[in-house]
Amino acid sequence: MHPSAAVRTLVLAAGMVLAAACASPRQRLQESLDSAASWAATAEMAAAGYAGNSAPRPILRTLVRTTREALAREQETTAAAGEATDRRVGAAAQAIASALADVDDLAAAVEGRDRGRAAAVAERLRARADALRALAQAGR
Amino acid sequence: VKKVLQIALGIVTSVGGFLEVGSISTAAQAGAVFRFRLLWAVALSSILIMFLLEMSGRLAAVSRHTLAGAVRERFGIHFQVVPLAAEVLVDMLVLGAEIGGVCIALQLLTGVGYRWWALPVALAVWLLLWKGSFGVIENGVALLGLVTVCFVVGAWRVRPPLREAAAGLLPGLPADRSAQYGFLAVSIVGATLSPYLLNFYASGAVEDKWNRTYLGVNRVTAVLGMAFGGVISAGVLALSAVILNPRGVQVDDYGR
Repeated sequence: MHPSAAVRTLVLAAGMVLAAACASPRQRLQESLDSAASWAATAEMAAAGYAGNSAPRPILRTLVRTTREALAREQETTAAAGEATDRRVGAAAQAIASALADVDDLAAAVEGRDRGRAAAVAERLRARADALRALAQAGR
Repeated sequence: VKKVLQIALGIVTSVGGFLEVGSISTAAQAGAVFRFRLLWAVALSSILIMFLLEMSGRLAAVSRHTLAGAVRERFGIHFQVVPLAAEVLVDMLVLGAEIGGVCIALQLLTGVGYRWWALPVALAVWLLLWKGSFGVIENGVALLGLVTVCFVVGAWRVRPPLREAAAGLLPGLPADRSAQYGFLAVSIVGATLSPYLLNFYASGAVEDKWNRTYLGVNRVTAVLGMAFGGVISAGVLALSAVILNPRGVQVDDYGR
């Protein structure tokens, strides 16, 4: 292969990789909604497991911490997207904030060994996950 | 009797080697996103690994060489260095993923962050390799892999829809997310066809001094062991399809 042809191929390949790596704000919002819905559903499953006495506390503690970090990350991504990008941003931010509050409530329920409270949180988290999934579906 | 025992042990250890963290995570991802539609990829990769394993065992029994040893002897080190380097790279990635999996499990058990476990776990692996015999590694550690049978028990208990599962044995493109579907299909096959498994199996055959009289043992072990492993992998996929998919939980993070 001629050197200039090789350089052209390399530049083209690098450009394609760069284009694939740089998602648009709307794509990022979509991915963020999918991820937030999934994390809310994960927390709901864990809360229901704890309420049903089938998930031990160390696992819940770890999961609550991971979920909180993930939801906070998605909250930032959603806020960065801005209302101008997509009409769903406001509703998404609200749903993620509510899910974060529920996860904090779950943490308190786990520390207080309150399985009844965990069951109530599971119900709320299910609603949050459904709402976030509906928002994600609306963008497809 | 000795050969029957060897077959039983071979099947058990093959399962331990078959179902590592890559197979578990790709099957779980596939079930969570596409329900049973990627079951065919699990079946196909199980059949492929059966053939590959049987061939590497046969080579070891007849020539008394491992796969890597035979390639080096036949083609020379200059030829072998390329596939060997590629395999070392893949094995390093698998080892990293395995250590990561152990760290996450320890984090779940203890609550101590998984990053803190990386060095102690790597040290334990190093000690095992340094002090343990091949038999300990082959049989002892692989026997621990039997814990994965819990996936089959779990899948049985959640009663997956058999008609839908059977339909998943036939390949077909989904209406949406076809790129992710293709990527996951390749990932399932790639995670199952691990080169280390072939070398590990052939090394075991050489260590156990297999000869031509073991060709039948080799065939039965490869076919039953990989079929058993494939069933467990399908169990992971089925559990994920029945439990995680309806709730919209994606398996795209170590923490999950």
